[in-house]
Amino acid sequence: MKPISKRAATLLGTTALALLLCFSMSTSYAENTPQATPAPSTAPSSAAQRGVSAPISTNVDISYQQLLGANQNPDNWMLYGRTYDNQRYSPLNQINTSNVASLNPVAIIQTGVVGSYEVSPIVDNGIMFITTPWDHVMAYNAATGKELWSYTRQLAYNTLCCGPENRGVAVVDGKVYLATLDSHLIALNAYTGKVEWDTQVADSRAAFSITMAPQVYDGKIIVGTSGAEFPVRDFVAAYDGKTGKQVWRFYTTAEPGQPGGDTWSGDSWKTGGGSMWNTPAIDPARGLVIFATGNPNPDNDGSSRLGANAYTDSIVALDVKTGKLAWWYQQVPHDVWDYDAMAPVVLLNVKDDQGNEVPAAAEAGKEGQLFIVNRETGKLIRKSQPFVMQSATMWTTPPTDGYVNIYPGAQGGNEWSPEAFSPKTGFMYVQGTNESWQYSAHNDPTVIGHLRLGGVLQPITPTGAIELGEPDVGATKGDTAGTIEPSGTLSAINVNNGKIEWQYHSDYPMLGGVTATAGNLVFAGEFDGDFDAFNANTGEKLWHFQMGAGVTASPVTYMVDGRQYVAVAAGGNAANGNPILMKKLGFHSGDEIAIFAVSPRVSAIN
Amino acid sequence: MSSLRVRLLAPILAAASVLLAGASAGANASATGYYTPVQAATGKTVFEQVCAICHGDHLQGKVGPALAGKQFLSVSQFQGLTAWYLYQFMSTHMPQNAPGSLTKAQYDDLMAFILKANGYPPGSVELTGNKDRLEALKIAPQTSTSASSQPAQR
Repeated sequence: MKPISKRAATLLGTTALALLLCFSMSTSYAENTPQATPAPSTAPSSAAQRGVSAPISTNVDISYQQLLGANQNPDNWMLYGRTYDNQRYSPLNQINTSNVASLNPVAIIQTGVVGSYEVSPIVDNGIMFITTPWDHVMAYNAATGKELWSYTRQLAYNTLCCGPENRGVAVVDGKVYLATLDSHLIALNAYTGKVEWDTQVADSRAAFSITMAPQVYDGKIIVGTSGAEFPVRDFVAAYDGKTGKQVWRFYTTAEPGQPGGDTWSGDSWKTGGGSMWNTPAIDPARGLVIFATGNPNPDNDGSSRLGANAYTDSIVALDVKTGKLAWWYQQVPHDVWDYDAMAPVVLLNVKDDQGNEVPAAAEAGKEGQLFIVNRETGKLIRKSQPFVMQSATMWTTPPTDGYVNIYPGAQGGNEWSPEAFSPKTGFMYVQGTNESWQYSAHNDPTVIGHLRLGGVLQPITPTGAIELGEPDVGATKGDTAGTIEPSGTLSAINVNNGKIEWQYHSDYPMLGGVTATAGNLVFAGEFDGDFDAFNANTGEKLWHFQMGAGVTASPVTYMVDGRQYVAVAAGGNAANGNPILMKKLGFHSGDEIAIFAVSPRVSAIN
Repeated sequence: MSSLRVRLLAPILAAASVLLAGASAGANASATGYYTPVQAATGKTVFEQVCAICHGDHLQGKVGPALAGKQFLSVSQFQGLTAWYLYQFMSTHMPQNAPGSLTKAQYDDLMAFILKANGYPPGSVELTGNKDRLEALKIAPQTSTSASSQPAQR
């Protein structure tokens, strides 16, 4: 069996354009004072930071204190998951089930950087901060789409498993924080986009990379490394927001002497993987940072890493001040199917089986179920019904002398896509992919900085393999027994009993992230370019808009000057076998961010 | 009489100088002699036809990674790559649209061309895809000593 690399498809599927830097003065803009939070600081340092001709003249000084109150600040989307809970729930209801049919774009941004978009924008005081593929950062007027500043990094050597995506920045203390594909953490001046400091997090020559949006809390910037398709030991680290110096580091593979340190044979923990793909949640009351971890390495071949392989494929909680382990819950022990837990962990209260309300943490993983644990103890409360199809061959160890077709595969289930939780409905909204993958195991050599998948894994349909951008490469008709055509789901899961209350079916894998609002709406995008709004209670699709490229990024909603907007990026997603699906649709990668508001369509211009 | 001795001596001296040259090449085997100039020339032709479209006309990298240059060499050094790793990867996985489809001679010639592009000097010993020999050759930035820096012999 010829080994085929996952990267091959992404190399074919993504392109990048050089970005021309454009600076423009922002037009004078009335400040929109957030409600129920301290007044924005007008300290001299802000004015000095802005300078006379800074591109942004609006106040975007977000304090760490203000972030703690994000839930009482409905106009703004100041954190990756809107609040430290990562619930992606907005209290805004100006846009609701009765008027969403009149939602129309009022501004279209074309960033000029074409590729796979996964960004969740940050919006504060009418300013939107986004990232593009290849780690460009841009600031825009969030109502008009006018570009205010942009930052382009000269990336150093980097090697990526899965594409040059970036899921966003963090904005606090007058700075914009970016984590990069070459494993650096950068602090930019929020007003000008100029670099204030630059810290190396990990050595990209060893194939570490970072695609997540940083988390920011209590003066610290928290990021985690990816790279578990290569022989690495991943970690989560906190850096001082002012200086960039490391404050603490936590390795996501347990070593001898640590809890779980007896779950790796020999020295396999030293290159055992454990990517931290996504933005952690913070529990300020308990002083915890809670995140999910990815696959152990080698992915398919567990023979050299006997044991459960803590803390891979887990929900993990650390003391946010020290980085010390509080607890972990492992979704998939001794994973050989690349079943990462890589979506953001969501904090919420749920009823346990005795009907008592308990503080919980939840994550919808690649293996296709929502896991809900007690976030004081790490004990499992419940798993949901599967939100994707699961084959009878699931959990079959990949053979070394053949192959096995299973679903879900390495695109999940739910891969990185953020979930949304509505306290109004009590539902967790989760996207999903139905896609069969073919696995075989092989003893791959260890070369620093080079793929060590431990075999072959590739998406496969009844027509053949869809890796390498061409169908039928690498698999014959006979190899396709038990495979399925790809499709997608959006499920509303009752967190108090794990049942799926409604489920929307999409023709293609669904990814990018979900947002729920007090207007009783759920927003999510589709691979075929439709951006949808659903009734949060019933799942009825109430509105959609065709954006011309896959809407596979995370929507946000915010208010400017008393008007509610919804914004989302659409650039498609070219990871895994997705380029072939895009080709079927006649789609390309894109570079769009659309800003929607309730407005009648303009039908004639004099 | 003396002219006969000179005439007889000339081929002996010529043979001796060839032997000496061969001995000196063997003594520098760690720095030279991994491929022949003919191999590198043929490899260049194959590269242009099959590989340049992804790796660039100057091996600078396009859709596929760079195969020459400062960054390639320093990263390869960090990663502990050997010529055997490159040769094996290339002959198994490349070209990407038809992995392993070239002849062995073509892979040998391509390897010769890539080594040449990275400053490894040619020699009289052919590259034959020999694991032990190629595993001993680390991919790393080259120092400036080479046969070409020696004064030309008349």
